[in-house]
Parts: sequence; C-alpha cells; structure tokens
Amino acid sequence: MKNNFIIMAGVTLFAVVVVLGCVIVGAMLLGKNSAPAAANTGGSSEAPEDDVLIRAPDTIAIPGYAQLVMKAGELLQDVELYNPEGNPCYFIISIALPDGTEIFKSSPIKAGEKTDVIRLLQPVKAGTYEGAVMRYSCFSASDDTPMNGANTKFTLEVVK
Amino acid sequence: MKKTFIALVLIVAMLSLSATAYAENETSATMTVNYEFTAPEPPDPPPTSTYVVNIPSSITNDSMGLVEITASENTLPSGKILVVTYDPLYSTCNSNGHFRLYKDGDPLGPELGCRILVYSNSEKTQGKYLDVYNSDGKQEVAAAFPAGSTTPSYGGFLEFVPSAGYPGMISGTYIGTVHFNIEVRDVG
Repeated sequence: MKNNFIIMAGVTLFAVVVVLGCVIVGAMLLGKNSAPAAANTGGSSEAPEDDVLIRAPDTIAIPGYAQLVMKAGELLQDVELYNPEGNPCYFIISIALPDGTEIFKSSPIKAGEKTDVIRLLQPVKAGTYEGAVMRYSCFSASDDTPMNGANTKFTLEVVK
Repeated sequence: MKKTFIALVLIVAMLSLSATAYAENETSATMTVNYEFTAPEPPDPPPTSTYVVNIPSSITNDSMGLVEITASENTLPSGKILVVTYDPLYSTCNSNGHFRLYKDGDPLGPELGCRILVYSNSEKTQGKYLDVYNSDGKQEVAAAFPAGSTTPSYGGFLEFVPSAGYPGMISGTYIGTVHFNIEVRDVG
C-alpha cells in the first residue's frame, strides 16, 4: 500500500513536470515567432532621430528665394510663403517692389504654416523687378514682442 | 494494482490534454490575420526656398556673447554668393546707425549703446564693427555663404558689446532688435 502511494506520487510529479515543460517550450516557440512582428509594427510609426531637424532654439530660420513668379494684372497669386517649423516666432511677411512700393502684407504666419495663395494690395505690371524685397517681421510666439528680422532681396518675374 | 491502473489512465489523460493545448497554439500561430490599413495622407512637401539663413532671435543685455549666423539650406548656382549685412533702417539704432538697446524694449525709454562686432571664427580674431558703413559706403558683411555651402566663407560670428552705461542709469533689461539684409550677389 505504501509502495503504491509512493509510485503514484512519483508518477504524478513526473506528469506535472512534463506538462509544465510542454507549456514552457510552447510559450518560447510562440515568443520567437511574434517578436519580429512586434518590432516591425512598433518601429514604423516614429521617424529615426537622425531625421529630426536640430536647431538652436534661440535662432530664427529665414527662408529666401532667388526668384518669384507672379501673373500680371491679377491680385490673387499662387505664391508659397512659409514659416519654418521650430521657429520661436510668427512672421508678418511683406513684399515691396524695388522702388519701395509695398504690394503685399501677410497676416501672421505661425511656425510650421504656409500660404498657398496670396492677395496683392495692387496688381503689378509685367516685367522683371530685380531687387524686390521680402521683409520678415518677427514677433515672439509667446508674448508678441518684436524679435530680430530680415529683408531678403529677390528677382520678381511678372508674366502676362 | 487497480489504483496504479487508475493513476496511469489519469496521466495519459493529462498528457493528451496538454498535447491538445499545444496543438491549438500551433494552429493559432499559423492563422491568417486580415487588417485593412489605411495609410495617412502624405504631408505636403515643404515649400522650396533657395536658401534658409538662421539669425539670432533676440538681443538683450542679459544674453550677450558670441552668436552665430548659419545657413541650413543653400541651393545657389555657382558664381553666386549669399551675403548677410546689418540693416540700420529697421534695427534699433541711433542716427549714425549704431545699434542701441532700450529698457524693456521701449524705444521711448532709457537706452544703452551696444556695438556689434563680426568675426570669422569663434576665437574672435580680426573683428570688425558691423554697425558702420565700410570705406565703400556699404554696410559691413555679417556673413557670406558661397554657392551650395552652409558654412560661411566670411564672418558668421557676431559679438554684441554693450557700453558700460553712465551714472544714474536705471538697472533692468535692455532689449534691441537687429534687422539683417540677405541678398544674392555675383561673385567678384
């Protein structure tokens, strides 16, 4: 009777060990299959750190153009003006002809925003205007105080 | 003997159950999962500018020192150079064009003289005053970037040097704004 009890306990213990072993091996096999899939889905949503534009926070990025093209006699013009992402300020951009005549003044353009179409203050005659000026007036995004700014000179081509 | 037989039957039953469970795992590992993924709209490409020049954002007497003018984009064709100069017309300055700081940025308040020196390196050798006209009657160059280069061939380092002040001068933060002219010139 005592021997039977010992045999039963031993066999039961063996069976438990075998079952647990199977469960652990199965879990490990599943883990191997699922790990690469998780890595693929998790890694695609964020850009690599190298792609992040690193710029000192106490500078203002001023974009400049060698040439802009507009249509003669029209107020609405397809011109993209933008404020680069990360700037600590908003822009008010104005455009003046070489003689100083202001033909455009934007509403505030926040960092990361751009215009697709601009409305001129007056139509411009066809011609090439070398030395046209795009003035960037910069104001703090946090308290609206004036910040440093820039004038960029460019060639304005006005076509019929 | 009878109990031993019952024990063996139970063991076989347990092992078959665990084998079934393992087989079910294998089945689920190979099943096909369908998920309809809708890609987000690609962002608009950034507008194309010919160059991007980075200027210091603000100048106060609390943050004096060497500041840099850099370029992060420059697609000028060869034979051209990008030139950055000081613009007294829109900067806070006196009638001579010399740069000035104003208490709390108020142009009607107390003012403090502040000269701007330009250097071509951070060791500050051979500095020149920026807020003056040179012998040709033109503004001194703050930085010059050759075609395709984001590193200045001249200048690029500015030092703001406030004057010592005068007796009775009110303590506080004095602020000024510098306006730069950026233009493309022919080389030579």
